[in-house]
Amino acid sequence: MKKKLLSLLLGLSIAVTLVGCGSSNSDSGTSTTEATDAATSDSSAAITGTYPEEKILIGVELYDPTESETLAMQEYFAKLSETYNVEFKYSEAIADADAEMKFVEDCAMAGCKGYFGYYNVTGAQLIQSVIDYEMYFYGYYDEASYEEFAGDPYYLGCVLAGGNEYDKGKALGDWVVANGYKNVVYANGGADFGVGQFVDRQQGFLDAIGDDVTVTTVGGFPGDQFFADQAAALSTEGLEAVVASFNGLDFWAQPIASAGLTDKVALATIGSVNETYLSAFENNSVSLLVSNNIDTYGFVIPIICNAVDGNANALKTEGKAPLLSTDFWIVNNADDCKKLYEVLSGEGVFTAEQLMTLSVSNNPQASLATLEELAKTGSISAVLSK
Amino acid sequence: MSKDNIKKIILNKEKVMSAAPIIGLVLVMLAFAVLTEGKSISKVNLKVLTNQFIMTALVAIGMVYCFACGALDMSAGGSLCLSAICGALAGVKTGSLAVMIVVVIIVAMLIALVKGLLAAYLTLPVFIVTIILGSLLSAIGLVLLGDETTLSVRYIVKIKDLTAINLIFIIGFFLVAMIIFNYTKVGKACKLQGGNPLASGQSGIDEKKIIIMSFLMSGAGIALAAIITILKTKTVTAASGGSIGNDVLVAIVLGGMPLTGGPKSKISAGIIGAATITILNNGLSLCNVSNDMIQIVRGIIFIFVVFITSMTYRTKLLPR
Repeated sequence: MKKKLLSLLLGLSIAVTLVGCGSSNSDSGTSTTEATDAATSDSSAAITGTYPEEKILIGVELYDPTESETLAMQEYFAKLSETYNVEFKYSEAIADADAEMKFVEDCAMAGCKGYFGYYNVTGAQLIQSVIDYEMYFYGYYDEASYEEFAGDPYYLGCVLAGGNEYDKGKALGDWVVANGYKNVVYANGGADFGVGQFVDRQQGFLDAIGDDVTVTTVGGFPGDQFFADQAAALSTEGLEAVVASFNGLDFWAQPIASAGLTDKVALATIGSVNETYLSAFENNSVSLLVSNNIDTYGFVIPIICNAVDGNANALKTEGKAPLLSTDFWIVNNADDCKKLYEVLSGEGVFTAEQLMTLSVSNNPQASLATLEELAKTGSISAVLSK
Repeated sequence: MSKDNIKKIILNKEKVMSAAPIIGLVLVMLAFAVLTEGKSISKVNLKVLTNQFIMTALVAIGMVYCFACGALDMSAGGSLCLSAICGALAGVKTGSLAVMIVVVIIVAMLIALVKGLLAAYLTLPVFIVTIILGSLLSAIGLVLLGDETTLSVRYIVKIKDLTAINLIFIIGFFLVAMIIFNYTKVGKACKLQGGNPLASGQSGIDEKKIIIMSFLMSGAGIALAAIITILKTKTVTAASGGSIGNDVLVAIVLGGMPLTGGPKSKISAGIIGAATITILNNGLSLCNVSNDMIQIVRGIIFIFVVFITSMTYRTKLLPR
């Protein structure tokens, strides 16, 4: 009898599998563009673009699918999918090299033509693995990797969202100096573990403030040690500002308020414009936001579509993949934040029509210059003047 | 109906039921072949499946020894991580692939020896000791990495296609493990000890020696898996192998292994279970099912199989 139950279970496992697969065809699970569409528009079927003729599947590697920037990016991609005939396969949180490799393999098996390295664990090895599976790679940048792969036909380069990390850290430091703060807390994220972007941000920050400012450093990411260090740092005598190299609003605004320091301690951070930051500016719980222009990620679509069409070289110079960046935004008041948020949540900083100018099939003159011109329209002054 | 007929029917039924994991594997394979319109059995996907299956299978085959003794080792992830980190550090320092592989094997076997000694001489439940040990090993790995979050060995490892190495490792290790498990005193003693430690002790079996040998066999599987990890990802992080412990547990149970160990233990459970879980993961992924959903499916299957197998085998155990 019990063994009958065992065989019943095996049947059940297949039944669950079938249900899983069955639902995937209609709902596509949470990992595809359709799911995002469904979340934003229940009443109507998703409008899908007609270019390219055959739908292109693009794998997107994420480090945290629930993070606000990631969610905003997915929403933007869903919006662009109304014009472009593309679909996205998002990873879950990629924590290690094995998971990354498995996701690359999953993408290859699912028929992805392109891969967007929004996140990267294994550096150049990721690019190599993607290329080995004959998928086009766009995204993740480090100097050595770029030099190694720039000439590879499957490597498409990237447009960095918000320039280099050193300058973002420097912008935070400049704000401290401009406001005359002499006693600040700096949350350095992964700088102590050698995480490149945090090391660069910290260096930029320290270079900007010079020797006149007393800095109490809180290292690492939220966890027991982080919260203990945070509490100790907030009790520093004469503290004037908290500078967070990541998610300041999520992890510092509330502790500052709980310590009764909202009116005494200013908060500056690196993040991305969203509704939460808008509210924070309106109620003065944040003073400065150094924000990425997250719509920059939209360039991945026309660039991969071009490559699949056989026009990858259109945006390359002497066979080398493009490497550009859009400016980061320095937001220090609620009005600017509101305007930027309206553009981001509306038609987008780069509209689908603008991105179409990069597609050779739509604009045979598309070139690196077209890309550079379009990237320039992502500056804060250009967006605020919209 | 005569007693002989009843006996025959029972025996046939047992045979059919012992083949249930294989039947399950074949059914899962067929179901996905149909659902993915053949994509799951395409040449490229079979290669990917081999890549994804190999690590779980290697660790699971070795782990069968520990499970057979009734010792649930929950530190496979930590062991794999630390041995891979040590190997990679040695490789980076010397620039030698051979040194890297030798260090991986030595470290994995040393860790296995320590685990075996702890399991043999501590009177605490093995799974509790190994849960703590797993975290400790990963933490040591993190300390060894220092400021580096990832350690790249791509300039030492030039191998691109791992198919041949995968096949050699899995076939070789499976054959060795199977022969020792089924045809030597060690394997038989393992099963007897898992079935009834009291009886095995009274039969003159050296309980401590068998436990240590089981962990060493498990260590060999972990060492091979760590080598494959390095060759495949060409990168080592403090999170390498982090999920292997759970994967192996699910695989072994799906392969038809009783969690209490004992005489019903089969070395094939490791390989069949690893194949089933890999095909299930891969197939669901090909169907665009999200990872959350895949985890739910795996969780449901695991709980049901544990429930059923524990009911089946527990009632047949002698008092301990």
